[in-house]
Amino acid sequence: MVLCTTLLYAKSSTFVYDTFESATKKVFPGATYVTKNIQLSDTQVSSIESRLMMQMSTSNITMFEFKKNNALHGWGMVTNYIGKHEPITFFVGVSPDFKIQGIVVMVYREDYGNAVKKRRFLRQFNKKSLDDPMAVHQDITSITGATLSSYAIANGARDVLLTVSEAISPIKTTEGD
Amino acid sequence: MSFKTLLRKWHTWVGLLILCPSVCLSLTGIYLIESTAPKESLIAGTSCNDGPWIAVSSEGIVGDALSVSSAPFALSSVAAISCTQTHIDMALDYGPIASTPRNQLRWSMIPRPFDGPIRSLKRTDNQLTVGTQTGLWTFNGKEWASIIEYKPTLAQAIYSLHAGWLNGNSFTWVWTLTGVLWCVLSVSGVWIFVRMIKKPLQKQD
Repeated sequence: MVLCTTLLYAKSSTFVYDTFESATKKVFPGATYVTKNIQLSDTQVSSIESRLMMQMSTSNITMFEFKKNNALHGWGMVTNYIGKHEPITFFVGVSPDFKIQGIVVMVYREDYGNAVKKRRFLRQFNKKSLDDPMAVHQDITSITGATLSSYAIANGARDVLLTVSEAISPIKTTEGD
Repeated sequence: MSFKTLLRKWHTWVGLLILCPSVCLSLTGIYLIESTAPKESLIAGTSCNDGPWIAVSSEGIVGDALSVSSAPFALSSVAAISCTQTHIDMALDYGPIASTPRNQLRWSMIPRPFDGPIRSLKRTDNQLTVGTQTGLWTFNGKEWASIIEYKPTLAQAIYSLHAGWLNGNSFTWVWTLTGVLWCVLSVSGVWIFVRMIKKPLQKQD
């Protein structure tokens, strides 16, 4: 009885799998980063939302630029997307040619569905670009018992890729000028 | 008949009993994976308060109010739909509520603080009313409030207990272990059966 009661109330549903530092090392090993706070314009937000078919939570984004030996290795963002009831926090890395470099689930806050942190699911996203649908039941196979979480990761990955592309392209053009 | 023989017989028949449904389920499971998803099945639908209708089917979202082939959430999980002049809301069973303005397709996910399958969903102005197995809740755009809530049943409490075991993976672990034991028992059962054919039981008595 005591054991049952203990088990009933000892329910822990927040799992921290990776810190920001360890997540970035997995995606961009050996690279250093600088933080960039970018305010997206209304046009950029509208462009992202129309392609994503989702509302952006904020137009003020925090992005990380990764370099190794002064060479650009890519960009990354930490994003939160709702799985079942709670947000899943994960890091999405984007390569300089605007393809997914890697995804690492940092915090999972629910009892079921944490299988989306597994490499066999996340590696499906690697090398995907904006030309790919990056959608569950199209080019991404969801995990049985974690359908909502699979959708959350796919939406978040597309969101970050679109956001980075929108945010970086104008900067690149300006620098080129 | 000795105890050893009885044990062998029991093992053989139990092994066969388990092997047959296992093989049957494996083959039909492979067929399900390889076959295409069912076509033209209706998942949920409703009429909007200004006339048009909307439905979620295996083909996507269809209707006068909105017609798209895909959405950023599992359409098969849609349990209830609400459609007003301004908004379309879709409640996902065991998940959040997806909401979009009708004039511009921009889905946003509204997390809910209560569990369980959704029974009803209705928007009045900017207020959502959601019904579940155990309660009725409203969302005013910022926070949820409970209108009525019944105590969870014993089954729901037991479900919570199960969900808390082994970092929430008790179900997966138990079934994985059961599956492995079934396979071992099936193989050993067949092996004993084959041996029994070669060496009839009568000889051992």
